[in-house]
Amino acid sequence: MTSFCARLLGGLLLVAGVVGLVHAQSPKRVLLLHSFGPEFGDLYAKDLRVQLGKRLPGDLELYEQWLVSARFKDAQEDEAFASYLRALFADRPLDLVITLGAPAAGFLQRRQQSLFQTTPMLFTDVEERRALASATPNATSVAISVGFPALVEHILRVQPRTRTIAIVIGNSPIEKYWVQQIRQTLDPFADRITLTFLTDLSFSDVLKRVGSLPRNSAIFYVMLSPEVAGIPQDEDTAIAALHAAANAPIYSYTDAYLGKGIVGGPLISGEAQGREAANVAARLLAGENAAHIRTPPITLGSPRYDSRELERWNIKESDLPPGSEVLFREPSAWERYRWQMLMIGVIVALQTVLIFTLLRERQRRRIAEMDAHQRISELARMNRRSVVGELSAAIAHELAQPLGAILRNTEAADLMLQAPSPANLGELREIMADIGRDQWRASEVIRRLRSLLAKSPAEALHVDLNEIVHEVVQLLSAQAAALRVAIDTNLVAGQLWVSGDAIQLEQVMLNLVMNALEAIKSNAGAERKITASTKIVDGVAAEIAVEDSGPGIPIDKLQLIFEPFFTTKEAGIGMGLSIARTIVERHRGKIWAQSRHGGGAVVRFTLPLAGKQADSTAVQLRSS
Amino acid sequence: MTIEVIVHVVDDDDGYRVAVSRMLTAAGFNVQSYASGVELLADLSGDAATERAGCVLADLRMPAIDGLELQEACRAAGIDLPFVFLTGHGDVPSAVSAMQRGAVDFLEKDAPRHRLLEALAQAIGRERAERAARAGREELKHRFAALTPREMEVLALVVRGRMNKQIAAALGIHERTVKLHRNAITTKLAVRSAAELTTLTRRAGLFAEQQG
Repeated sequence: MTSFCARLLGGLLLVAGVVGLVHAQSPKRVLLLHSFGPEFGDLYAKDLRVQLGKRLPGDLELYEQWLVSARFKDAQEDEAFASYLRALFADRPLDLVITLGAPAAGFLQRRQQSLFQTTPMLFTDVEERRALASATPNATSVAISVGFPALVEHILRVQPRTRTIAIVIGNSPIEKYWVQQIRQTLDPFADRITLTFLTDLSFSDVLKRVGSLPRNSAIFYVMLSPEVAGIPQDEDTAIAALHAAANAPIYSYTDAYLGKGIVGGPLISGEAQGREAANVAARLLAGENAAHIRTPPITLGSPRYDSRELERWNIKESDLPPGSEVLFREPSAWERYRWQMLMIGVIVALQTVLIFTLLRERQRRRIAEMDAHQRISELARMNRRSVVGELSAAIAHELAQPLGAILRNTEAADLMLQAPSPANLGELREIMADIGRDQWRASEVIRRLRSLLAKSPAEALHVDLNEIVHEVVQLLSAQAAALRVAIDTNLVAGQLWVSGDAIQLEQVMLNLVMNALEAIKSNAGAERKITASTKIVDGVAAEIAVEDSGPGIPIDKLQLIFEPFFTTKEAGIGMGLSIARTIVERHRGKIWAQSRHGGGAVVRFTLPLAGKQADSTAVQLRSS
Repeated sequence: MTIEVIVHVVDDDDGYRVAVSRMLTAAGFNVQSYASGVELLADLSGDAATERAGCVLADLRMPAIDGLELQEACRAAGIDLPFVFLTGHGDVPSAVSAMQRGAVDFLEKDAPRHRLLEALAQAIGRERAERAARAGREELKHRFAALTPREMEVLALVVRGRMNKQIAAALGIHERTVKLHRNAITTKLAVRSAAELTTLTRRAGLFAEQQG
């Protein structure tokens, strides 16, 4: 007994399981029946497929068929296709049929009794006027509502000057229906616009017509069925040809063409269609009764535009209705090449900065050069001044002698002339002579001092170096005497002409001899002698040497002493030799120091000889 | 014997030296001029101090030996002539130094005549006064040389204001002996009072620390 029950139970369970399994595993079969070919009029099918995929993932077996018999008015052809469908799905009962477009819906409606009698049906992409006409059990529709008046109002709003609207529409039965509908619904606009139906023409004629429209025209593209003679197989190509040929802006009712050449405006959204259709399809597949599903038709959406078309037809965005969306904005040059332009901008900016910097640097350098020039002159002057400052004691002394002597002499003469005894005429004459000589001495000192201080710019004249040596030695003789230093001169015979500035060369000499004096001053050695000598070297240069019997210069400092601010004097500035070097080098000469045989140092400098025949009218170095 | 008052002009600058010598001669001075301080030192060393009278008019800045050094050298050599300095440039440190060392004056070389003559007169006057003072001191030294050592001891205490009794005690002699010494002292020095004695002693430069 129990074994039988158990086997029965097991068998039942098995069957139930299999049935359940079979039930669980079988996907939904859905047929998409298109009105036209896959390349044509398949406006929103893509959207639909996408949305169906979203709503019913994995669970779906999708079949697609194309009803090309919209082309054919032949009822027999119709029937052949119906038989084909019947046969195709005899073994695979469909769970849902979705039609796209009015022709497919009409086809199924007509065959209702013999084809897919019990299969739920969903009519999509039919205008509500067409959808309402059908009352089919187990069928529901997701329709669209195209208000032609609204569309024309839109055209007139965006392009108020429009006087003619050319309507591009084909010749198939459905299209004929629409021509009639449009005429009817647009009748109220008869006073404002002229409607031209570009129907019943070959494609090339349509192109000609759209290319030769009168001014203030607009084109409204409804549809072109594949029946139109000469129409390209691919709708995109047709639209493109139309767009290229048109001399007026093209409008339409569906966003399928937005971006392919229409201006835009309020449009039926393919995506909205697909979504709604997919929702209803899911409900139907879930078992809901078609009669209970009522979907409001999808209406024209808020305006959307193609910015390229706006630009092409000079439609300002400010003229668009509020809430408009402008798409396909071409990135401006800025947007497109933003990085490149930024880079270029940066580079240009950098270059500009660089140029300005360079210009400013050049300016600065010029100023600095002028500045340096001035500084050198000032330093030279200061050097002279400081030299003079050092000399002031010596100079004051030098002046005081002759002036004091003149005073004493005149006093003496005065006393003599007052004395009771007769004046000694001889002595008086001597007094006069002495006075005259001393006056000359004094003015000489002043003259030399003035020339030393004169800030005249460098004059390139012919200068006698021998005379310069003389002058400087003379100027410093008092100083030397005070320091108990003997200054000897050893000069080449005659005049030693060089080209240059006498005052500056004198300054060089002055610095050298003063340095020599300074060196010996603190030297307690027996010999206190300075020798200034001149000679000609190789017949082209003059060489002046100043030797001193001082402590000499250490070998490692022979070059250093010519550096600015090098000094061993407590109160020295250290510019003397540096300035001397600047002057000598500016005269295209060289200056250097050596140790002297027998102790001490010698500083030599060379200068290129001027043309040896210095004319005797060579400018006197200074006025007296 | 009359000693000739001489202005010794020392200046290495021939022009000025000749001119100033001329002027001073015309002004009535006896002038001797030297081109360097060395010559002056050579000339005046060896002369007895009493035979020199006058002053030195020296340039400050000279080779070989400058004015200040000359002043120093003269003092060292016992040549007690006052110095008047001339300078070609106003040198304050040298001026201060010179004055500190006892120069009579410090003038610019082109100082007006009367200033120069005044300075020289002042110098000569000072020199004369000093000479007189010196002579006085010499004479006093002679007088005091006549005193015996014991008398000097007594004198030393007398000028310090000690009473005879104290002197006696300090020297370990009788008071009467002290009195005797005192008589001898006053006679030899030819003074008439103790005050004069004290003054004389001071003038002679004896007993440096005299606290009367």
